[in-house]
Order: sequence, then C-alpha cells, then structure tokens
Amino acid sequence: MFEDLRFRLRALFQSKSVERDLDEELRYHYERQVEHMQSQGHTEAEARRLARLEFGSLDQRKEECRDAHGISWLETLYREFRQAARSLMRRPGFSLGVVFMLALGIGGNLALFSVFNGLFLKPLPIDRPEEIVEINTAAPRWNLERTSVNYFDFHNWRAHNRSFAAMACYDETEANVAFTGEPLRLRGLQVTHDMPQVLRIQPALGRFFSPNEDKPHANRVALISHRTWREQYGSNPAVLGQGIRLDGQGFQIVGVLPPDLRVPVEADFWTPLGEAPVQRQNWYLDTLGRMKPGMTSAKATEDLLRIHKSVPDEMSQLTFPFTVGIRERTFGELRSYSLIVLAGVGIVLLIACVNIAGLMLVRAQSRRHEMAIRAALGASRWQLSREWLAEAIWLAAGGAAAGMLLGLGGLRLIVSLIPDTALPAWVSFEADWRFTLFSLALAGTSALFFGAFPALRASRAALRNELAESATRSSTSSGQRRSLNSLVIAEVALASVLLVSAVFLGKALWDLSQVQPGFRAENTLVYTVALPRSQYSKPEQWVNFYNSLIERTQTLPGVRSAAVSSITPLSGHQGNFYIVEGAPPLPKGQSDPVVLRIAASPGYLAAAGLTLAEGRDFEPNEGSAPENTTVLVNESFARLYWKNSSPLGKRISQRSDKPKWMNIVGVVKDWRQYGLDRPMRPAVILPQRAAPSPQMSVIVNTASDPLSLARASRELVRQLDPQLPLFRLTTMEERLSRSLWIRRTYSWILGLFAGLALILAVAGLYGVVSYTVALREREIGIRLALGAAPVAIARQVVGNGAILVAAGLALGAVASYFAARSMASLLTGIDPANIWVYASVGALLLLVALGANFWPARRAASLDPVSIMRSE
Amino acid sequence: MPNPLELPQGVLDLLLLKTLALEPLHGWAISQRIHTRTTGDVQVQQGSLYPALHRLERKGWLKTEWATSENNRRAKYYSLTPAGRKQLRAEEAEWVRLALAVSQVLGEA
Repeated sequence: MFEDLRFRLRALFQSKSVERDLDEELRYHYERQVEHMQSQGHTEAEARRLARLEFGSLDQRKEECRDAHGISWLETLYREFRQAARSLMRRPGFSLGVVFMLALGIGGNLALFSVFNGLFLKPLPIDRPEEIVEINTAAPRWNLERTSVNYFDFHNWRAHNRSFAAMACYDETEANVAFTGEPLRLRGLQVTHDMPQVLRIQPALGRFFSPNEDKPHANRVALISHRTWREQYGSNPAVLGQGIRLDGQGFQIVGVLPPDLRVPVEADFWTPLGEAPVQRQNWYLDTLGRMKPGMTSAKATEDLLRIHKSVPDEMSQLTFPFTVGIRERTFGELRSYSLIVLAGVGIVLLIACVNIAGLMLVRAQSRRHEMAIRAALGASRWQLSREWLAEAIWLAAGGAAAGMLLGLGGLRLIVSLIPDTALPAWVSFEADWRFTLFSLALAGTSALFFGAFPALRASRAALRNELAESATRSSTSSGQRRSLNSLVIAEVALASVLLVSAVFLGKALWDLSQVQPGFRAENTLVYTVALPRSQYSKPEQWVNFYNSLIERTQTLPGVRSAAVSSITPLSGHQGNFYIVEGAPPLPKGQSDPVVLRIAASPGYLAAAGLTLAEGRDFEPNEGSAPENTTVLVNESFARLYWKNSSPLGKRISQRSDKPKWMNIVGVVKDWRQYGLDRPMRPAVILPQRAAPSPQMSVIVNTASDPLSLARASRELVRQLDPQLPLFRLTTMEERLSRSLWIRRTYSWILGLFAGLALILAVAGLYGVVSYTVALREREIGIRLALGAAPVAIARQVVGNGAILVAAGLALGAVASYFAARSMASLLTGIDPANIWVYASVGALLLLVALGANFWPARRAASLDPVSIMRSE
Repeated sequence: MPNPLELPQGVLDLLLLKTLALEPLHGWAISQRIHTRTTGDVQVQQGSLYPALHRLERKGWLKTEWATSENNRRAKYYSLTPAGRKQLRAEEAEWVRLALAVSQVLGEA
C-alpha cells in the first residue's frame, strides 16, 4: 500500500521524470539488442533493423507500459479536484461569496474557540498540571462558598492526608521597595516552604526556603522573581546574599525564581509565610495541593473531610474542605458566557452553511442537464456526487484559510477588550494544535454539510432519467423547491434564536447598568497607601498619617471631600462576626452570617457617595474613646436583627467572650459592594480611630475629571513620606465599568454575531426568492400575457416569501424560548417569559425579510412577456 | 529449430519472478536469461516484457533501481520485494500442482 502510494505520488507529481525513465529504459534495451546482434555477426544497419523489428514501435511499447501502470485512485482524485477547481474559477462571484460567508462563520468560531481554549482547555504552564487542585473550605452556615483557609487547618491536612504528594499555601501580598529612584509597589507571595514541591520547580539561582525558615520569628529570607533579577540587578549572580528592603524590613535574598513562573500568580518576590498552627479563626490563605498520581479530586476531598472532621471543635464542624481545579475556580463565571457565545457563533456558521447549501443546490439545478446526460452515459452515482464533494472541499478549504486569518484578527480584538489584569498571567490565547484541529474539524463538517445537498441531488439524477424532464424545461422540480424552502425556514429560525439570545443578553446588561450602585461612580478618585510597620509601628501613627493625608487632600483645588476607608466599593471583602446586645442566644449549631467590616474616617459616606437611611455619620475624632465607640450598619444588617424597627441606639460587638459594645448611630442604605449583579451582605462601618489599619484607601470626590488630581495626590503622599508609593489608583467609574467587563464583552460579541446572522439569513432568503422567480419566468410570462395583473404577481411572490419567513419565525420562537431558558439557568437577569423580546425580534425579522422579497417581486411584476416567449 | 512456445496467460509473470529471485537484473538481461535457461524454447516477446515488468512493479512485487550495467551504462534493475517472494512461492506451488494434474491426465490417455 505504501509502495503503491509512493509510486502514485511520483507518477502524479513527477510525470516528466517518469516518462524520461521509461524512455531511457527502453532505449537501453534496444541498444543492447543491437550490440548483441552485432556480436553475432550482423552489420550495424542490419542489427538495428532486426532489433527494431523484434521490439516493435517504441511509442507503442511505452503506451503499453503506461497502461500497465493504470490510472490510480490518486490520479482520479487529482483530476477531480483539478476539475472542481476549474469549475469554481469559472464562477469567481459564487466562489468568493461562499468563501467569504464561510470565513465569517469559521473565523468567528475560531476566535471564540481560542478564548475558550485559552481559558478552559490549555494546560496550566507547570509540570503535570492535572495533578494540581486548589483546596478551600466552604461554610454554608455563614453563607460562604469559600472561606479561604486558616493555617491550623492547613497544617492539620498537610500532616495527615494520604492523597497529596505535596501541599502548600500562600498569601498574596504587596510591599513598597525602593531600588533606585521612585519607590515601587511590588507584588509578592508569602508561601509555605513546600510550594516548590507542589509546583515542581527549581530555582534559577540559589535555593528555596528551608522548613526552619518557614516559622515565626525565623531569619528573614526572600526569593526574587527572574524578572526583578533581570531588571533591577542586571541578572548579576552576586545578588545572592544581598539584602532587600520590603516595606522597610530587611530580607536576605537566597534565590531567584525560575523564569516565566506565573502560577499560582505572577509575583515579584517570595517570602516564607512563617505561620504557626495556633489560631483558628483567620481564614486568609489560598492552598494548592499536588495530588498523588491516579488520585481524583473527589477522593482527595473525601480524604480532607475525614481529617477535618476528626478535629472535635465547632469550627471544624461548620466548615467543609473541598478541592477544585484552578480553572474552575478562576473562570467559573466565564464558562457560562463562553458556552453561550460559542453556541451563538456555531449558529452563525450553521446559517452560513445553510446559505451555501442553497447556492450549491441552485448550481446543481443549473447543471442538471449535464448530470443527466452523464448519468445516461453510465457515470455512477458516486462519481457524480464526488464532483460536488470536491467542490465543497475546495470551498471549505478556502473558507477555513480565510477564516483562520479572520479568527486570529477577531481574537486580537477580543483580547484587547479584556482589561489588563482581569485574567491570571498564565492564561495565553495563542493558537495551538487544538486550534488547528478545531479549524480542520469545522472545515470538514461544513464541507460535508453543504456538499451533501448537491451530491445527493446529483446521485438522484443518476437514478432516474432526468433527460426527458429537463428537455421540457419545466420549472423547478418540487423536490428541489422543497429543499430550498426548508433551508430558508431553517435560516430564519436560526437567526431568530441568535437575535433573541443577543437581545436578552443585551437587555440584561442594560438593566444592570440601570441599577443604582448606591455609591457615587462619577467624579470619584480612589487609591491605596500602605504604611510599612518598620517605620509606622503604632496605630496612632497610622491614624495620624491618614488624617493628615485627608486634610491636605481637602485643601487641593477641585476637591469636594476626601476620606479613607479600609474597603472601598467594588474592592473586595473583609469579614467578621458580630453579636447584638440583648439578642436571644442563637439556636444551637446556628452561626451568625459573615458581616462585611469596614473601618473608615469621618466623612467617608460623603466622599464615597453612600447615603444615610437614618441617623448620622461619624463626627471628627469619634472612636478615640475605647468605651462607648459608635458604629454604622447597613440596611441588610438592620433588617437581619431588627426587621423593620430602627436599630439606632442599639449595641453590637464583634463576637467575643468579652464583648466591646458599640453604639449604632446611623443606618447606611445598601450599596453594591461586590458588583451590580451581586447581592449585598450585612455590613458595619467602624470609625478609623476605633479600628486603625496600616493600609487604607483614599477616596476623593472631585469637582471635575478625577484623574486630573492623580499627579497632585502622588505629590501629597511624597511630601508626607518619600518612601511610600501609592497604588491601585483609579476612578470609581472605571471600577464600575470593569466590574461589568465580562457581561459587556460577551454581549457585544453575541450582538455582533446576531447581526451577522441576520444579514446572512436575509441574503439567503433574497437569493432563494430571486432564484424561484427566475425559474418561474416562463410561467409568469404566460400569466402576464394572459392578462394577469403585475400587482397580483408581485403579491404572490411576496406572499410565498412571507410564508417561509413566518414558518421560520414560528419554529425560531419555540427554539428561542428554550435557548433563553437555558441562558436564564446560567446567568442572572434574564426572563425567558418576556414576550416583548420575542415580538420585537419577530417584527424586525419580518420587516427585513419582506424587504428582501420586495426586489424579486418587483422584477417578477415588470417582466416583459413578449421577450420571454421569444427566448423559448 | 521449432517455433518458440507461446506462453500461457500468467506464466510470463512466474518466469519473471523466478528469474529475478536470484539477483537483480535489467530488462534486457532478463530476456536473455529466460532465453538461455529455456534453451531457446521460450522466446519472450521483447515488447511484452516491459509492460509485464511495470505491471509487477505496480503490484508491489518488484522494485526498481537505476545502476551501472556490466557494459558501464545506466540501466534500470528490477529485483524482488518481500511481497514478490511470497507471490513467487505461491505461483510456483500452483504451477507445480497444475503441471502435475495436466501430465496425469495426459499420462492416462
């Protein structure tokens, strides 16, 4: 078989050299025979004559040899493809149109597939990524899906598990570092010493931490990232042993991390976590485990639960460890959107294919006479079908090639829509073998789909004698018209599904953008300043620093108000538990929900644009007296404990055996702390003085463009302490817009493709109706000649089209409803029963479709009967 | 000298395979070899030799190679492939059975 293939390929692509070989071989024989004859005593001339006589005509022999090779399947295939290519070249309009439509469909799919591939399919850039899981705990009683991990639990799991080859936890951190010039804010990781075993990495230089260095009060050592090593130390190996000041504290550099390390997160430095398994209530760590080979996530979870539940205390009974893939936990939300949009572009490709199938069918119709003759002459069904499939494969190949370019371009566009740091650094969208495989699969399936229609038809032509039929030039056969009609119906239905889905998604986005965030988005600047403990060790220093920063900020021109807060809107969560004075003890086993805890300076409500429902804001210096501290709660908190009565004057305390009661002086209206589409948790706001923190965000309400104050703010911070960088500087508007980027991006993409689907479907409808009119010219001509009114003809054409559209819409409405229902199960804010969405999409499609029918109808009405009859 | 024998269908293939079983040969040498081995009783039509060789090559029983011939010229040498050897064994056995059967019938008469 292989020999044969080699032989065939050679015959195909080196036919000249094959011919030369044949010639040389036969000539050699002839010459030898002549020599042979001469050696037997013949003269040269005689010898030549005899040899030629015996051998026969050289050309004749060559022909016989060629016949002996036979015509192979490969050559047949080659001829068929060449034939198909020529036939397509003769109709550049048709071919380019098809390639263009396919390119749109395939390109769209490839772009979206690349996104999906990058997010969900590509393995993480580490060794044996399938063994890595994230470990977290859930606390259903506290209404928390993820609590993060406390070190006590981690320590316990690490010591007793049977499922993991290694387990490590980490905490993301940041530090001010001054190398030379402006102080930088570097991103770091505090890791346990086993992190390298989990990631299976080696240091580029030096060593990792020893278990002894990963303990409280150990020597302070650090590793720096490969990039930091290159950019700040010029890749000098002498960096080992040098000191580095992180937040003013001296660390000794013991190693350099491997290059391009992006898991679990990209970090500029690593320091040991240095925790001891003593405290039970600080859930702040992220944990990664490398499972033993052959271990499953479910079994590992079981193992962890076994260990966890054997600890006999309340915490261990309330929390449940579980394992989850890193992708699932990072992109859980993106998955639904990706699937919806992938289904959407799939529909676009389907519509394109349906369109192309229609065009091919029309072409098959125009060539049916030829097909009939060839069938009559003995061409087999398979032979006739093959030609169409060859054309389909060419078209699909062209469409796939153009689609790849378009897809890569589209991918770039989509990637440019994704905010910079929205995705982890290890995500890459570059095309890989999956991309290629998917392209091939798409092209192949499309070719099969739209090639099958004309191929089937051609093979039918071989079955029955169409010669007689076509000789009478009857109008299109009813079978053909039926298939064209069903294609149009399918197109309209598919397009309407996509349009309805896009409208639902767009409407959800619009509704969301109309939601009142409860805080002020416009004219609000935020940034964060963190104070290193080495220079700012006392809480009073923190409060004083931030107070003077606020005072100075308020003197800047264009500033309406300014305040600091530990947590600003849309910037995360810090939780705690609170108890209410005099409240009856909770039923046994039931825990209070987690409460968002914020520490803020007086004036924070005004600066952030939060509104008071009742009561008052903090007064200056409130909270400095340790007893009799005041506190604000939000509406959710108030509702939770006091239903509809006022909480003013009531007292609450952080949960503790020795409560420190705080007076509620105000109730703040709920705001969307976690995103416009997320519910609000109960929240308390404490005065900064009562709960000082060395890291606060400054929030500034400005009179004009907030970013115009960025430079002045930097200058202020520098004046207060030149060592302090200011970071996460942004506007509230920007934050709000970013919080919606997933919805917005996907809505745009789906909307774009829905538009495309509409155009394709209408083009298909137009094509089919025009074609039908063209085929019926004779009939229409006769009717016109017999006195039919042109208006009646036009009405009939439009009516026929309208019936198809109506059928498509009816089918589409049902399919759309199911599409919307499955979308609603994935996303919030979609009401599949919203009849107006269906109605408006239906009206739009009907309108556009009637427009598409209008031109062919006009043509039909204006036909000249005389010239048609003459052309017979 | 009596007229050379006409070869029955398929026998030429067997002769070619057998001739090439010993060593690679070019076309002319094959015809000579058959001629001398059959002491001139079998005359392979020079013209039919090459189509037959090409057919056997296509079937994968022969492979070809250009090499320098005994008179120092480039010639195309044919040799057996493993499939060719298998085919030869099969055809040989078949031929022997056929010849035996035929001579048995002839002997009876």
